[in-house]
Amino acid sequence: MRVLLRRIVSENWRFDAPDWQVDNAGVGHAVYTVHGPNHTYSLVAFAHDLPAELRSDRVIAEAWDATFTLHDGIPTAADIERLRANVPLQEAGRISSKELTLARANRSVRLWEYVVDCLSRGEQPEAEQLYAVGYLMRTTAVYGSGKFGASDRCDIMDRNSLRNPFQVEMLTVYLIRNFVMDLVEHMARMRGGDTAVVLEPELRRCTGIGNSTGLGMAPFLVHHPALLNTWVLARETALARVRAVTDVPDAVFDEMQGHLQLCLRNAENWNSQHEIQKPKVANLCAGMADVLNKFNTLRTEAQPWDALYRWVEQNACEDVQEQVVSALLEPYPELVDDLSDCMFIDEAEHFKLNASGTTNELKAQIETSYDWALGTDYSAPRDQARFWYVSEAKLEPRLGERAEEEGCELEQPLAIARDVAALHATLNVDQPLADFLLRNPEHRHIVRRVQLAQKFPYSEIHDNLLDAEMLPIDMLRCKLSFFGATKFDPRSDRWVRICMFKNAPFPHELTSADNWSYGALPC
Amino acid sequence: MLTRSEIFSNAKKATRGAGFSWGMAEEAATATVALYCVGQNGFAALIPILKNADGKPHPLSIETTPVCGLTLGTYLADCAKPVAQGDVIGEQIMHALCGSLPEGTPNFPHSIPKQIQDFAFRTYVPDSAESRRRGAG
Repeated sequence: MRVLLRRIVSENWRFDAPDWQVDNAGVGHAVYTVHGPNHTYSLVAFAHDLPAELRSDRVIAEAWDATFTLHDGIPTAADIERLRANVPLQEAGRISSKELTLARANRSVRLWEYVVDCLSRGEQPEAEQLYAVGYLMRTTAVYGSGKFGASDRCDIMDRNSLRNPFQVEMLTVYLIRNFVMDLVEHMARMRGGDTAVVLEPELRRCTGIGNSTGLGMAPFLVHHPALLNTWVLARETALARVRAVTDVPDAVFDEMQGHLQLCLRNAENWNSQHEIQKPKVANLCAGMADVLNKFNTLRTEAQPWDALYRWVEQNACEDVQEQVVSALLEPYPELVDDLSDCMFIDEAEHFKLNASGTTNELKAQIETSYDWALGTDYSAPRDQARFWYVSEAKLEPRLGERAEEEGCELEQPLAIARDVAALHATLNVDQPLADFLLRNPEHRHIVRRVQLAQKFPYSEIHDNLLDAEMLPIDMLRCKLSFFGATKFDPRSDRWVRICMFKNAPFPHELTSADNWSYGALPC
Repeated sequence: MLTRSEIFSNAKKATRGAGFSWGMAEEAATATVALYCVGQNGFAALIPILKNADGKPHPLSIETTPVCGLTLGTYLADCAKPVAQGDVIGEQIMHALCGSLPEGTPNFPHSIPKQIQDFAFRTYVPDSAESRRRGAG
């Protein structure tokens, strides 16, 4: 999210006033056009009158309050009509290579009605109510990369602004936020007429876009090992640069303390009713308070941020460790921001397997890079309790219980640790790798990964994705963190809600200051 | 018109559905996309490979003819050898795997052939009461 907004500011992107074609009942469409230095993009938003009984934020729902596409350029009237016939249908419709994304959103019903009611009567809603939910609409899937006819990623990768993955998806959600805020004010005006008011800027700004994410996202990290490496490598490099900093001025100490305090406040305002998350949030709050108590002792350290990192590593839980790492990067944009330019890769260039070596070489590579996978007995029920599959009914990734459900013979190739161990166990006689692969094609997908791991040290999740204790939401959370999410509200072990662009500046508020993630504004 | 990612995804699933391994399915999908990128009919080249493999034990032999173009092409590419002459099923797939396709203009299909859909369908697991109860997100 912040990579996108930084680019919009640095390249001075221009936002047109929306072409607003929404009627008194809140039905119609609107177009939000933004001009970058070389390309123009338009969010085409369709607002619907959705009966309450159809409202669901399951990915597999079939009707939505609003549907969207990001059009590559400015849509013609014919484009709008083509999109009106398809975008509201979502998966059942078809967009074209002139579109970059397909998305939909539903209202947070109670909050939506409350805000419309307040504004229509000329009053502002209570900040606490807005803050508690954080959004007026939440998206489910935001599809891109060639889905449902949209432009393939390789066709837009040569554009600087879209080289990083998910930038079109982030732009879509950012523009959706503009649309949603305009729509809620429109509905208040329709109801209240001249009495209605617009939302105060501070309240507007603390309203983001919800996102409800399910299992469908989890396999992504496994399917894109080279890309995952670039993301983690960027973060590790950023951390290493900051840990190496010496001679920290008092002003930077104070700034760092402020960021850590914001992180603590973010944790304190993290509302989750889920049994998995509640103790984690409590530990995070306690741990961040400890970090702040420790903070002043750092001023005498030669490398204070390295000292803080080491202290946290020894004394705090993983949630606190990760939070502190994120905070450490905040005061140093000049050290770390350039690394976002490295968070992409042309995966096709690394697809081809190199079969010129021998199986002994492969075996040594496995023992070096996959030692974490080799110690587990994958025949034990708890070590292969799950299996990943694609459901016939919804064509969506699912996670099954091997002992209780049918279909494990159709499992998806996500059992990396188990399959690496199986490959390793097979490599007893040295032979040319090409000959081995000819006779043992069932290992081919894993051989490819092992070779990728030699080039890309952060390409694998070092864990058993079949384990009985594995939580898919941890995989979702990893990906969503790289998107810039700072709070996670699990709805089950495989479904999580976040809030995107909360506290982010709107187009007319954009400045070079981009540290809004943790609510830099008092709100 | 189908996108590259749709062609890739369907070719990969169909190849897996015909009994090939996931790693071979990735090769087949890459080759299918490569064929469309030079204006050739990738699915039409893939379908005979899938029909030939259907029901046979894997790995397929490259000693008996007609030989599977996916299996042979993958092996030749692994060995960095040029394409073989002879009785090859899905010859264009072999050429795509060995990097010996002529140049051409991309021409993507408008729909997925039914045979590809049918093979791909075999990789899906029917919903059960248990899976619905657990919730997919």
